[in-house]
Amino acid sequence: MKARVSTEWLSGCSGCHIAIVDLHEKLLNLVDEIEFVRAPILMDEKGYPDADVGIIEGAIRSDHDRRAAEKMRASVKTLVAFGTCAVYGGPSGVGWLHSKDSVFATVYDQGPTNSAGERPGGAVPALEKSVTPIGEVVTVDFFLPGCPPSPYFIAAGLRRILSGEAPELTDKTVCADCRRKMVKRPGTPLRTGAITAAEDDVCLLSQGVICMGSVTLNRCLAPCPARGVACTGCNGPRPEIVREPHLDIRTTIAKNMHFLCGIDPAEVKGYLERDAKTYYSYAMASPVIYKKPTVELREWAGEGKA
Amino acid sequence: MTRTITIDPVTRIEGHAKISLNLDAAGQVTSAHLQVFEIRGFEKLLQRMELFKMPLITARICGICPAAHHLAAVTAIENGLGVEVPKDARLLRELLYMGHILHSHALSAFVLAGPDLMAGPGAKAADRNVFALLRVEPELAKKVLRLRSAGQRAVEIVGARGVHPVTAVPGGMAARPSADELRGLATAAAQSIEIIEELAAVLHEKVQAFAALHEPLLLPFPALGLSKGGELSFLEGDLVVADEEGAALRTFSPAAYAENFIEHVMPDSFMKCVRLRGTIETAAFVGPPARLRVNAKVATPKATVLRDAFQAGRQSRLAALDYVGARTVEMMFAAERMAMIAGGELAGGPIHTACEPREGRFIGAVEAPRGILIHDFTADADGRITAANLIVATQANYDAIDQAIASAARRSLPQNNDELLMSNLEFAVRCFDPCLSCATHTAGRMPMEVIISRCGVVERALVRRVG
Repeated sequence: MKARVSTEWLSGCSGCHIAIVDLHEKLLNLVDEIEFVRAPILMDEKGYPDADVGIIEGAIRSDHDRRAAEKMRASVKTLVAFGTCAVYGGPSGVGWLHSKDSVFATVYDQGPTNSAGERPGGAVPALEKSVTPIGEVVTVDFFLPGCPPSPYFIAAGLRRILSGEAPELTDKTVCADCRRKMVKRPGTPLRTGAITAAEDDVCLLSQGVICMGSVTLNRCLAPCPARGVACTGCNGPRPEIVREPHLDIRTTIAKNMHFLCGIDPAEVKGYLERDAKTYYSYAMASPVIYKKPTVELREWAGEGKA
Repeated sequence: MTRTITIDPVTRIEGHAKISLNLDAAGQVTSAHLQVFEIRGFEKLLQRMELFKMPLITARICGICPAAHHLAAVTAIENGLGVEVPKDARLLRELLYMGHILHSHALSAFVLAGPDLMAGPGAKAADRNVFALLRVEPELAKKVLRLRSAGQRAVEIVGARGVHPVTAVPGGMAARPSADELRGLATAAAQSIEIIEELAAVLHEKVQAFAALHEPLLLPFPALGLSKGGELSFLEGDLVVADEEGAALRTFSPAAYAENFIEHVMPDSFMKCVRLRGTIETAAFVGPPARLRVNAKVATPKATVLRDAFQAGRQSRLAALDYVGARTVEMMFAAERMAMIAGGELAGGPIHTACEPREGRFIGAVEAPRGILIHDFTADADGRITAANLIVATQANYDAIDQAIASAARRSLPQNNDELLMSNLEFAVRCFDPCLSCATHTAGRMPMEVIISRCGVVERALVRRVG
């Protein structure tokens, strides 16, 4: 009998669902092995039918999202938090920093095309105070971060989960799959705000550019540094940073750049704190990050103390 | 009394929605309204992020059209900096983007709205999805998936990733594909042209069958789209508002968008509508048929043939069904341009002009698959965002969608058949292929329901569900 798969899309962009379609020819093999009983975008929804595997994309933003996550949990045997928004909050999770009122004031009042003073009313759902990763609301069996996860890892992960086994995916960093060479270049200055560098085969950190590959889990096969663009950490942090309270994104990058370029770690750390909204944008809504003892995201982002 | 009829909800639109129908005392439809229920608030989220990261993070607004946001953001930055992008970089972006249009239109034509057309209006809901299509018409469905894959592979190769591409950086492109990769793309584009020729005939037949059963939903709105001197253009040009005959009523540069557009909050919805400013505010429609209305010329031969046939067959007013035909014309244009660029237009010249972030206002516009998309950033001296404004296609179509639903409801309601009413409302919405992820800079799920109110009092609610 084909395994029954149910998917749900909460506060996210639908890109994780498109990533499933991006299995290309492999999608046809997958459809031979499994039956989608529920999949927004791909088919008309049918409530929450019982399924062997449930896949949730997106974070919890409204009371509606929370109920949907609970219904998914109740209807499936194995639940997968799929993509960085579901696992860590993702870009949706940047809303964790802001009050509902300040989001509304910006969206509905401040833009040059807005009709200031108008507010959505009537039958709109209640937004929750914050944005929450799925695992904080329901029990999750497997986490597959990635923005979206590379189709390579989707195929590998789903195959194992469907056969009832835990997925055996690499826990290496993006650097592990990067073709660039890390070299020591003492005296290289920090290039703030940059996302590319001149030399095509040398590590971006060695060239003074903040690349997040060394602090990011590999769920992508490193396509960005391969094509000349610094990693922005969209798969979420590497396992050591998730597990160990004393390790953090900014301090690890500062240490690596000190080693490679001789840059004062305080300079890198200070820059990453000032630009925390850029460098913590994918995982800030997760307690594994915001509860770290020295991480003060709200303060760094100019939103006052938590 | 509230009566609930259980049918299956609609999800093949990007995002989720509810429809309300308002009736007068005599039971006539006075208005209809699409309600959108999720919000992420990207205008707020982007504040204090780095300007040069905008092309990467704004792609995350939408997983279906990330390439549109990626290029709108980079165009905005380059407009503000006044930097000249080298010719090969512009061609590579066009190659990436034509792949994106092919992916998005193929997805829309066959995965989102297509199954309604393919299975026909009388088909059961369970038969109206891409998996059913794979069972019923496997050869056709596989070709369509191959077409979408050809487009998305171009994004993967040129943009480094299919969903959320990254290679368009301020000043140009961060990398170029290898000669082998370009050859592969040229071959895939040539195959796509053949598939589209075949599918155009199938789609035309299905549209005719559909049109015979349904009167067209004619909408009295002017068209709004990007135009490069009267030629179909996705990545550059001026914004043009055109009347039913395609005559320009208003032409302005993207930089002047705020003097020309106004947004309003709509009842019971997080999504704002976008209208044209004026002594009287007016609505317009955007997307594939609007682009073909404001532009008399399509620069490739096979798309021109399809365009001429489309023009000959269309009504002077917008019919919701025109979206299907117009998308086919654009798929052909995209495949032809992919074949031309990958087949030899790239000269091996520079692909990047060095530039640095700075203080200023940064405004850019592109045509997303579903219509006009504008990014507007203000940055401080450190190159950090202090304000962001985003105008997306589905917001501009909000009034047109509401009118299309009202018109479908007026026709269907007297027949006292809820199943038919739901199908017609769904199809009217799906023709526009609204992208609610983009439109509220959000996404989320909300099954489609129809709430029917008489004189403001809820009379009944329809929810669709199978099994």
